[in-house]
Amino acid sequence: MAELLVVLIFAATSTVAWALNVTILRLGVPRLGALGADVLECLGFGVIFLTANVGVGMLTVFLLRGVTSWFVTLYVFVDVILVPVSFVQGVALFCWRRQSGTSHEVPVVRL
Amino acid sequence: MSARTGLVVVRLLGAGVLGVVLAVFTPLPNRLADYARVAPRLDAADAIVVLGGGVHPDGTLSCEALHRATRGLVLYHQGLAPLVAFSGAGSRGGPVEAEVYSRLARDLQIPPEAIVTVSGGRTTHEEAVALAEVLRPRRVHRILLVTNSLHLTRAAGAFEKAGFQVAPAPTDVVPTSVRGAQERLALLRQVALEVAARTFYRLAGYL
Repeated sequence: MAELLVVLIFAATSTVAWALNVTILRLGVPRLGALGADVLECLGFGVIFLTANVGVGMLTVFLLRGVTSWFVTLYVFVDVILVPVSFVQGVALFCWRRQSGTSHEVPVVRL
Repeated sequence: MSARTGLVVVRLLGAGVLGVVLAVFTPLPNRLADYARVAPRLDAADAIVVLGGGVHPDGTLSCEALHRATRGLVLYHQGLAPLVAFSGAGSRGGPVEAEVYSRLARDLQIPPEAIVTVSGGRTTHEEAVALAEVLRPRRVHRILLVTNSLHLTRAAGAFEKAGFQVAPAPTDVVPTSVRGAQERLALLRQVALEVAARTFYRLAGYL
């Protein structure tokens, strides 16, 4: 049940943020479908960067082990820190695409 | 692949992330860990083998290593084997884990002649090979293998490949009954890492 409380808090803060954006910042109301697609796109780019970081990292480790006498543990590239860093890379790519016009804008309805 | 298809794939990956986030609010990670872990089978053996779990640069054992050492020493005191083999390499200029294990064992009244240290292995596969070189000449065939319950499937496979008969003696440091989202996420990560490692070991022919 404690987990449910956490989910409820997420829902509450999201609703408050939505209300503040519409009433105080006077942002348009986004279409939820398009907004969700953007969120998924952002996360998806993060997954791609995470996969690339782990994959390239492991290949580098094997290369170092094979070519030099230096032993680097594979655990370096399964560190939790790779997750937020990769998702920052994903967000950066998403923003870049948005600024260069290659990604669609979320349609909004002005109140 | 067209740009539109690529975007669909990217969004599906994103949906996968949301799926993982939602899963940690459910008992799914616990069920997966229960499925992936190995149950103990504590029979008499020729030796107890304690795998390396990590040592800090100041010479203190990591929590994981301490659990493994404790488990191995308890099994020895229960009379399940006449020999305890400690495995664990050292980093450049740093402490050698097997020696740290050995000191702890002697401090806890294990006779020196019952202790074997092997510091040649930096991975589970290397540990299996290094321990086989040391233990097989001592006529050690059947071992009680001590590591955490998720690691044990891969470790047992590697040691069987090295010629040992393995009886699993897992530590209980993978609590599969955890309840909070953060702990379930950590559990899910451990399971995912172990599944990836098992796949790699199979592909590399270590199992």
